[in-house]
Amino acid sequence: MPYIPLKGSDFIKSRSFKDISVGLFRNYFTADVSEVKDAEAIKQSIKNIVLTNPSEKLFNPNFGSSVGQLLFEQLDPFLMDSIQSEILNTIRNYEKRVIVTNILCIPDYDTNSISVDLEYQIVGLPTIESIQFVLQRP
Amino acid sequence: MLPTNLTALDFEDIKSSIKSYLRTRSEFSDYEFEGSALSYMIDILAYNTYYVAFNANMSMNEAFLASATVRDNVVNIVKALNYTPKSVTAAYCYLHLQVQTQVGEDGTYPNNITLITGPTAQGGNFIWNRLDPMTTEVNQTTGIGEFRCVKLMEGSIVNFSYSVNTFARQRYVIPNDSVDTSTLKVSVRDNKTSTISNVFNKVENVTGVQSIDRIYFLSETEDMRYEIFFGDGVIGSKLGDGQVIDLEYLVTSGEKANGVKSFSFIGNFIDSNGNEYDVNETDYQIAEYARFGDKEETIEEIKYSAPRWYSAQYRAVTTQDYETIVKKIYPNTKTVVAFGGDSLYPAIYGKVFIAIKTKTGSKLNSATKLQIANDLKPYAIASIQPVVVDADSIFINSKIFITYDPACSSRSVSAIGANAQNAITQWASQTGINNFNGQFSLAKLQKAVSNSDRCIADISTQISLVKYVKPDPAQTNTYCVSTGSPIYDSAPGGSNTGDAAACKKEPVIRSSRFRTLDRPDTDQYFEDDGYGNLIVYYSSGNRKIVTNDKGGTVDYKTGQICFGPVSIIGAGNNILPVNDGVVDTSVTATSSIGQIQIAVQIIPSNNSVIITPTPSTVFDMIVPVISINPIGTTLPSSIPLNSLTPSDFEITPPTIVIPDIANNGDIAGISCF
Repeated sequence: MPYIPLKGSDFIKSRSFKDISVGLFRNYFTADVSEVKDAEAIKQSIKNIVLTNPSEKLFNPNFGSSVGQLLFEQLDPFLMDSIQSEILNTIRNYEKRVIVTNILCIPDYDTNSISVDLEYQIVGLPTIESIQFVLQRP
Repeated sequence: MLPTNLTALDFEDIKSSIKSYLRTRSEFSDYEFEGSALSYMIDILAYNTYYVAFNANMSMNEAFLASATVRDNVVNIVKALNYTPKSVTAAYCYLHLQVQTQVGEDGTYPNNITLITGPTAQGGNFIWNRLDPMTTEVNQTTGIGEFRCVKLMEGSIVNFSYSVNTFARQRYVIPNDSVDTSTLKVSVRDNKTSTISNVFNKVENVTGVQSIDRIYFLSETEDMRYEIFFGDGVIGSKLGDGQVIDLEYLVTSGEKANGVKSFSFIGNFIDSNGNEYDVNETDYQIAEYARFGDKEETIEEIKYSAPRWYSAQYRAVTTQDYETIVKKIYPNTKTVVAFGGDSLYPAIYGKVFIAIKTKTGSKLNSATKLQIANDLKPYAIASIQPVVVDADSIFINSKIFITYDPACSSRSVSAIGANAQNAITQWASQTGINNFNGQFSLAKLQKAVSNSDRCIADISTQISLVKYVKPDPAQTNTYCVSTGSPIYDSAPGGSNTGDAAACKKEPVIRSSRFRTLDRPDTDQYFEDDGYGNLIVYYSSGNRKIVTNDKGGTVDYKTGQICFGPVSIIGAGNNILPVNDGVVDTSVTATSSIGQIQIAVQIIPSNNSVIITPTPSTVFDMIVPVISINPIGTTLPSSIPLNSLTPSDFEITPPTIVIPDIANNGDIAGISCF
């Protein structure tokens, strides 16, 4: 049995979400790594999931989305559909804390990039959050 | 709370352990979500831990012979035991060659003719080489030079040279894999332009090596290559700068070339007059087809052999030493047993007998036996003479009657039979069957069968033994075989008073058909009379016509059966030709029929435990006949009186094939932990 035996009192019960900032910035007040909380933590998680390629995460080859590969396809409305459904499926599979309410992918033919607007609702909260990011070939 | 269990070696276990720790902390909470940055951080921590743990485990495993799995590591460990793993061995064949030479300017045929080294034959997509030149005299009447038993080895001859440079640390590695190291020739020239070279010989230990001896040591190095080490001026002569080492060796396909039976000659000859000859002047015959090619020693074999070879210390003192050394000097050995002559009856002092069972299943010819005995002499104690003998076989014939419960399952009868058959094969591989010093235990066989299927209710078995009498054709001799254990008495207390009312016993020994010189057209048989005599008879309709009521003797207590004196001309369908009642006993006829064998089926007194008559005897388990009946069926007697069928064994019957334990040592697909 490789796990530590845990008792109920060992758990810190919390309704909030706390993650480290993906930039690993320094918090000048605590002199520790900075943290992101609640909606920001979820936002960071969604971005991580969408921008992770399958097989990039150690020992979890299915994790992530293949939008990175789709970016090399011809830029047309069909590609927009594919990217939208890929993002939706990925979030549905790997981020159970949110329900996506709207997604909009806008191609920018001049810069060969795609702007993604994602609106979602955090489960259990009435507010709608949104996140925007740009997909571009590396 | 700190993690207390540090034995996790699996990535997921380590990751769970880190998460368990974080659950007890308040700083972060998103470790459960795979998309969180913290999850990525945990992945890296777990991967690092996993990597270090794997490395530590692997390092420790690979440091010991018992647990090492990588060939290079195993080879390095056994180097400390002065053990060099056996290389791949080239298959070889023998040809008879006849060359018609030309008359020289002086009007006579050349004195002799030489077969040149190099590629000599093609066969089975392989090249067969002569490694040393072979010279024979030319018949001055016919001009024919005859080469008998020309040994050709499969592979490609490769030459490679090194220049000695003592200013750098130089390694002399044979730069090919699949090299048959037994064909390696090492010679050293003083410089590149020199044509004179000194041959260096391989030694395995330093005993008796002088400072000027031209010797080299051989050991395996990385990637199954072999490395040559020369002397240092104290043990063996030391090489100097500018000297050139010439290596010649055979790169071979090993066991893949075994069994090639068709060859075409491509070699060349040169006679003493300087004339060259090729296939156009050559007549060739195949004397022996290709055999004895073998792959390199596997990791498992190295692990088995190295410590034993080390414990023998290059000396043959105990019988186990002989067994270990024989495996080294004769690679075709599958199993071997050695025993002192003092353990025989009557005792033969001063000799050690070695019985060898070969990988190819063939019997050793007398030249090979002599060669092995001679190769053993340097290891043996001075007064002990090693003698190599053939392994003898005693066959166990079993009929197994199974009763099963039809209500137990809807499984078919054939499925129950298949389960029983598999159980018997497994049982055979785990006991001494098919090996020397074996012992047959009926209880273990029955237990294996009864455990093979839950629907089996009961088991009954009939056990008989089969030995072969192997007579010399058309020669009058007495032939003895022994079961090594008492033979069944069909009517204890019966007496042979000679009158008609005397007790008649059922035969417990019966033979297959054979023919004798005095009745060359009649198939005859022998059986015992129950009182120590063999009766020879033939069948006429339903009657037995006895031709000799004292055809041999039986000792029921020791199991010794002696048949003869008798002159046998054939057995089964293998009979010398008979023309108008006259038997052709010419050498051609006797050699064409090969070995005659008469099967003798015997009922042992105790069928529960059967031991081999001599240490050099091997039990062979004939594939059993399994009969499956519903529960309640009356089964036949466990003593097969009146149901001996020696005619079934005229040809050596198929025996249970026990799979080899050899492992190719490939780590792919095998868990390291």
